Amino acid sequence: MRILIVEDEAALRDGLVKLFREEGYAVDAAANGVDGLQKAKDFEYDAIVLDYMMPGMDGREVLRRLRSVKRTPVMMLTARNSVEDRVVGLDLGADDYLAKPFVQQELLARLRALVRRNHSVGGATFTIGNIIIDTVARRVTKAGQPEALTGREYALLEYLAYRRGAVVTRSELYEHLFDENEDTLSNLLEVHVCNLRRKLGTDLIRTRRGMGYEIPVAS
Amino acid sequence: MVFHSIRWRILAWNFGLLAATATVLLVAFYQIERQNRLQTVDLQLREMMSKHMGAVNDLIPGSSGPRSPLLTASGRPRTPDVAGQRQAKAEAALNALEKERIWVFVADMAGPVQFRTLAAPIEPDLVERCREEVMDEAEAPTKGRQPVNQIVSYLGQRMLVHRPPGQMIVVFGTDTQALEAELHLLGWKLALGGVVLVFLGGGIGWVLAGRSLRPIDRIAADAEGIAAGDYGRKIDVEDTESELGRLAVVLNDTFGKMNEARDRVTQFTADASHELRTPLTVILSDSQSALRQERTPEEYRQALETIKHAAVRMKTISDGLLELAHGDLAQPVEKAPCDLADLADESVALLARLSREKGATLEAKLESATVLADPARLGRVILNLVMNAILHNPAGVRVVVTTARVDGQAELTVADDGRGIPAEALEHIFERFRRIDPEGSRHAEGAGLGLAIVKQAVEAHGGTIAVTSEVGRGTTFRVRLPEAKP
Repeated sequence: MRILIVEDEAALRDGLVKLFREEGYAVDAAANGVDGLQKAKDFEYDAIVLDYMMPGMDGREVLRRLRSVKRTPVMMLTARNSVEDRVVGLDLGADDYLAKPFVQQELLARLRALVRRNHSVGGATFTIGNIIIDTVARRVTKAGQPEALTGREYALLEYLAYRRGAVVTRSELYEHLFDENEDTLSNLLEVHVCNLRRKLGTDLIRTRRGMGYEIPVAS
Repeated sequence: MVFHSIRWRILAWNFGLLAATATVLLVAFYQIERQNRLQTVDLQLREMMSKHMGAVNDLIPGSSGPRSPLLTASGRPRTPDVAGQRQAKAEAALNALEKERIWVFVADMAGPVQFRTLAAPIEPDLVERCREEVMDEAEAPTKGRQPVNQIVSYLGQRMLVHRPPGQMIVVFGTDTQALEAELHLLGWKLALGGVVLVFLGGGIGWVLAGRSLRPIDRIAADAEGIAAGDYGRKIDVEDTESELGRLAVVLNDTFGKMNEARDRVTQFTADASHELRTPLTVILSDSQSALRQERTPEEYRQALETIKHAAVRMKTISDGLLELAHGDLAQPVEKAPCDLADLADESVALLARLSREKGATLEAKLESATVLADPARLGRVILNLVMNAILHNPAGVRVVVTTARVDGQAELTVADDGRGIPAEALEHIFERFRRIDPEGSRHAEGAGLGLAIVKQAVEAHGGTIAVTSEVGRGTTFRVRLPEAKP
């Protein structure tokens, strides 16, 4: 999962980047509305955390312009917590609304909920054969036994699980698993797929050569 | 410290074992000899007693013969007033006993000595001792009990104490002081012999240990020389079949290999620092000249551009060095089954844009071939080979990547129809810091480590890599890896 954080306050921005990286997300950050809008247009994010109050182009404006081209899930952060602000924000196309100060756990949980809604998935766990993926704890068990996955392996598996039944192209995976500073040449997807097959079984992920990867619905 | 040397230890053990063995043997010998000698004495005493008891009995006061004074003035017992036959018999018996140096005395269990021959030592505690020896059982006052015989050694006397039924004891004894002295002397001789034996054996051991350890000293001296920096030095081997000779051969082999490794590391370090120094020099000189005076933004931009370029080159070099160092450590990774074709497919797809930018045509003919591998390393092998083919050839080059199963092996080939590599450069192509691009070539920023890394990774997977090339017609790299069951 890859998210964009648009926040003008450096301390909060860096804290959020660190928090989401530790949670295994690929994270890009923007310090102002113009930059944020550009990135939001250029890349396919799974979610955007957008600050309401920013000098120059504010969150409301970013959202208004973004919604004219894209429906990426947006979580608004604001210090202004009046009913009127919330209503305006939601009506402009924000998918959720969180008032500062907030508890990190709530932000993470709400973001997971946004991603689930975006993929039309109900619960926070996936069951594929005897493999269970817990997206809250970010843990995978096979036949009840926990399997240690690297952050990248987990992210790949989770994304394919969200898109189960569809062939996910390599470029879509690069886009959602790596942040803007990473070099895909040192991160071949096939490497992580091989390692996932070794750990979880060869049938789990299917390679469609020249097209992409798929976790089949039947498996 | 010298006492911790092997020679001293061998000596100590040799000494200890010899001394223990000699002590046990000599003590045993002494004891057996002593027992033998005393048994002979005992046997004689018993024999004499059984032979002359009758006669002695006659001399006991209160026996069947009439009472008589104990001794004459000459020390001979006054012949009791008995029949001449008896007297003669007693005389004969006493003479015979004297000749055998055996003395006799007769005493009451509680009372005084009643009869003694002249030689009999009748110190009170000797007599008391004889009584004690036969007392325990004698105290049972039952009549008709068995007579008791007991051997007693006391005050240099060996005695056979006889107690017939009744309150008397008859003691036959002989002086064993001479015998004891003789045994004492024997003991001293044996001890002296033992000491001489132990020292002689120890000395021989010392010499032998010294002789057999001398080659070790020589090996140590040679090894010290090597440790002191004389890396080319070899250990002198006299006899390659002996245990120490084999050790020397093994050590020579080990030192030789370490020496080679050291040379390689020295060379590698020199190469690496030289390679890193070039871009560093660029960074230093460009930044200094940019700072010397006020420049136009365009000039600053150019300086920064050059510096960035040099920094990228340094990063490439240090990344490569790091990877090679990891490979040298040969850390075991968990190998996963990977399809060479899928890895090649993704690599080709990732390099499609680069090849378009460089005006190259990139093609793939892929057939599944499963190998057991560390996918990350294998992926870098493919990327490296394909990238090399694109970057080291002029625009318009055609690069073909194929994967297939050949002779039960998985094969990957990367072929180009580019400029080719001269034979003399081809020989060294997998060595570290070998760049075959002509001076001023557009890809001169490569670190010259890529193919060394590739070869190391392929060999770590139990595979082989070969290269064929013809100048003007192109180059083909062929990697073969053991095939795994898909």
